[in-house]
Order: sequence, then C-alpha cells, then structure tokens
Amino acid sequence: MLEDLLKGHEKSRFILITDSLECIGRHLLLNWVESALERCEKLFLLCFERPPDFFHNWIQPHLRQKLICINGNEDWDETGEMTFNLARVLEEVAQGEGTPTCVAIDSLTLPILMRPAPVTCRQLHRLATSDHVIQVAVVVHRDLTDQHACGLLEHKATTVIDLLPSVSGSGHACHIRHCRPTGKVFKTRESFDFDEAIRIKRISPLKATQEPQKILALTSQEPDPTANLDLSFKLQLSESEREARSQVILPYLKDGSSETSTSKILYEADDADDFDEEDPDDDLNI
Amino acid sequence: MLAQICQFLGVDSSDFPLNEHVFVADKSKDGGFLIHYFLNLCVKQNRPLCFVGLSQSFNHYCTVAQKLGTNLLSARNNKNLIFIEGLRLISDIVVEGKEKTNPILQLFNGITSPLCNLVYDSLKEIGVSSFQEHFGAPVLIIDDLSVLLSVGVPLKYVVSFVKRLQYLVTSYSPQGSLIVSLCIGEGDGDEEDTWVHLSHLGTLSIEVSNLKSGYCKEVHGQIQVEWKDSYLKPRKVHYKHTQYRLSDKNIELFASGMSSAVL
Repeated sequence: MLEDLLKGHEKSRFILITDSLECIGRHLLLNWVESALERCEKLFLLCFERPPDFFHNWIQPHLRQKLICINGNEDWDETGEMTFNLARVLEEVAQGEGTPTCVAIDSLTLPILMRPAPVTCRQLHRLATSDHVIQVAVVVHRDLTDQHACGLLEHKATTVIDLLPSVSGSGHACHIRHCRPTGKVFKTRESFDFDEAIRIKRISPLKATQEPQKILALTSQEPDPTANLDLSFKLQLSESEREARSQVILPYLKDGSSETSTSKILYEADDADDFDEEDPDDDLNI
Repeated sequence: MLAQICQFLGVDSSDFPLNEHVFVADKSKDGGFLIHYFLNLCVKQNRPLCFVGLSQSFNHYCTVAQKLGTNLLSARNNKNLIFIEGLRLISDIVVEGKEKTNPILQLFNGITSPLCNLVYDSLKEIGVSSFQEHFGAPVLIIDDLSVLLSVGVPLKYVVSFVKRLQYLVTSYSPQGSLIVSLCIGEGDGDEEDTWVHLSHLGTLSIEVSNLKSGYCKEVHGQIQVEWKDSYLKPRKVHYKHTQYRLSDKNIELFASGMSSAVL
C-alpha cells in the first residue's frame, strides 16, 4: 500500500503523515516529493523546519525545475509574528491555470501552534479540494499536536500514515489507513527502511515480531512455569476451576446464613490483615 | 575538557559546530559544562560569537573560561564576542521608565522583533553582516531558554523566538550555528514541550541527565547525543551515549558501567 501511495497508483487527495521524535517523517516526505515530481508538472513545497535547499539539493537534478519551495520562515510581520498562511500557496496554485500540481508541507506543527487549528484545517481542506491540486502531503508531529487538532486533521485526510518506531532495530513501521474514492477503507501495517542515500527500500507487510503493541501483549501474558516440565500435577487453573474456587466459603468467615448456633468463633478479616491459611494450633498436641 | 568532549562527539575541534543547530537539555542541573564547552570552543576558533546570558552574568562565564584557559575579556575587547546581559534585561522589567522598551517584556505579548533585532545589531557590531563574507561562520548561544519560560513567556512565543534566531543565523554567508540550552525540571510540561519542539528543529540534540539508579559519587550522570538531519542535507539518525564524571577543570567520559571506580 505504501509503495502504491508513493508511486501514485493508489489515488489519494490528502495524505497525512504523523510522526514523533522517535521516528521522523521527513525522510518519507522527501521520497514522496521525489516520486510526486515524476507525475506532476509542478510541486509546491512549504518548508518550516528545514530550508528549501535541504529538499532542493536532495532531489534528482532533472526534477528540480518542477519543485517550487516556499520558505515558511521568511514571513514575519513587524512585531515578529509569523504571518504566513496557506492561502498564499492556494493563490499561487490558482495562478498555475490547470497545471496538475502537488503540494507538500514539511511540518504543520508551527502553523497549528501559532494559529487556531481549525483555521489551518480549513485552509488545508480548500487546498486539497482545489481543482488544480492532485495531491497534498503533510507531516504533523503527534508529540506536539494535541489530540483534538490531530483528530481534525485525520478527519480531513484521505490517507493517514502513522509512523512508529519498529522494535526490530533499524527498520521503520507504519500504520496506514486509506480511504479510496469509492468509500472503501483499507487498513494495513507495513515496514520499510532507508538506504544510505535516504531512498526508501524494502517495503513489506509488518511481521508480528516487528510490531510494538503485539510484543507488549505477549510479554504481559502470564508465563506458565510448568509448560516445559513433565509434572504429575498442575499449577494453572482453568476458568471453571477458578469459578468453583471462588464459590467456596471459608470456615470462620461471617457469611450471614448461620446466625442461630450459640457458640461460634467469628473472625472478620481486616483490610491490612495478613491472612495465614495454616492451622495456628498445628504445633500443639491437642 | 574540550578535547574529551570533541573526541566523544567525533568532531573536529577546529570547525565544530559548523552549520549545526545544537539544543542541549539539562535534566540534571549539572549540565552547564556543555555551554562552557561550546563557548570556549568557539572563542578558541576566533569565530564571531554572540552570547545571550539569561541565567548568569558575564563574570561567571569569564571565571569558568579562565579555568579552561580561555580569555573571554580579550575576546570581547577584540570584538570577537558580544555578550547580551539577559539577566539585566529581565530585572529591568520592573524598573520604572524602562519597561516600555524592554525587549523581554515585549516577548510576553508575542512581539519577538525587539529581542531579535538586539541579537541582529550585536552580530552587526562584531562585524557580521549579510553583505560581506566574514572570516568565520557566526555562532549564537543562548543560556538558558527555560528562564524565559520561568518568567512567564508563553511557549509559543519562545518557540517562535528560537525559530527566528535560527533563520537569522542561517541568513549569513557562511551560515552560522545556533546553540541553545534548556533546563528541564521534572514534570514541567512547558519545558518538556519546548524541548520536543526544539528537538524537531535542531540538527543535534544533547541530553544530560542523572543516572536512573540515583546519585553516585563516582559517576555524576549520563549524556545522550542524537544526530539528526543536518540543516542542508538529510542524514541517518544516530545516537551516542556516555557517562561522565566532573572534576574541577576536567571531565571524564566513559561508556556505561566502565567507570574506573567500578573496574
């Protein structure tokens, strides 16, 4: 699925990549930018975290002329507040007069921090549904964006790629939720890696051993110490045995049913009581 | 001290940090030595340096530098170093008559320009300008950013301020470096969030923290270094980790569990 999305075989108007400090989405965006440049006439890249040269130098030389980088850090008003808004990209796209265009944003975190999230979402929606734009890809940092804003963005996106650190070491893992234009929703989990030149390689379905959650689930299960031993008894209880055990009324506990007998020892267990199940009179010769 | 840290980072002491944006998180209250390391390293390289001291006065850095064999006073007189007394700016907030033009007070309202202009003018004063090639890439050091958060500047303005400074130092040719330190108290949400913001922006994150097992006389803490995408080209993330022991003028760095006291 990831490969189809990168190469454009799978159509998606708005791809949202969510990342965190442990697994940065910038390298995936770089790969997306390069493959998107192959299939569109123009690509607007809005950079906030790295300067345009960072992207420009990495892209293959014959594709560079199609790439138009806009430095998101250049526009400040006289007080020093960031004034850049996505509407400017929209205007520039509209000037393209029907050229198939893609738009990429290297991080939405700063615009969301500086302005209310719904404003950014509305502008993104306008951008993604604009006639000339064939695809929008955006990175957002999960660890800096509150759940509400993330939810808004995910609601708008047709594809959400959640990047996760893979437990197997060098690789990366991702959860993809993709909604086709027909309305059918796909959910897949894939792993991938980058080579020395940061080009994506080895995209494969995520194996159970690579997945963080499953590993956690496995380790949280109680180990069975008798599994490998040839014992004549068993230590584990089945559900029905557990149920039967819970029904047993222990002697000397007040159960409220036998109030009639005259002499009886009643013991009410204390909260902090260290209940000893051994017979306390065991050592006496009675 | 300088040589040991350079060796651990695997960098050349004659040109580091070149075009790197270094963010130092101090989770142990002992990590101040890294700022002294960067300050002294850059002064030794004769690079144009602007230092914004928000946590200590110039005399403090001067005394420490003397111990490490660097003369900050002569660097300042030679116009290689300019020191912005951030502490004085903060205390001026409460002085009558000065409060209106105080750049830090304006930062409270999200107006980052006066403080950025102060840095810009300082760099200009030591001969760094966008129009002429200087003999060395400029360096801007801020120690420490958590002071701004503590006096009440909202997180988003602090991040915006750093973002502008990053843009400012990279607008020169050759592009400069930004070094920012940040103290992170346990459970302080704002400081931790600022750190995550900075880590996303930076090219090199250094975290100094206490040992997880608690205080130890022989091992004072640990350093975790994360190299990320450089400012102009992507690179694979790689980490380095070490434990350290500080003495009066020196630092001992050793791999985890390899302290001479243990061996």
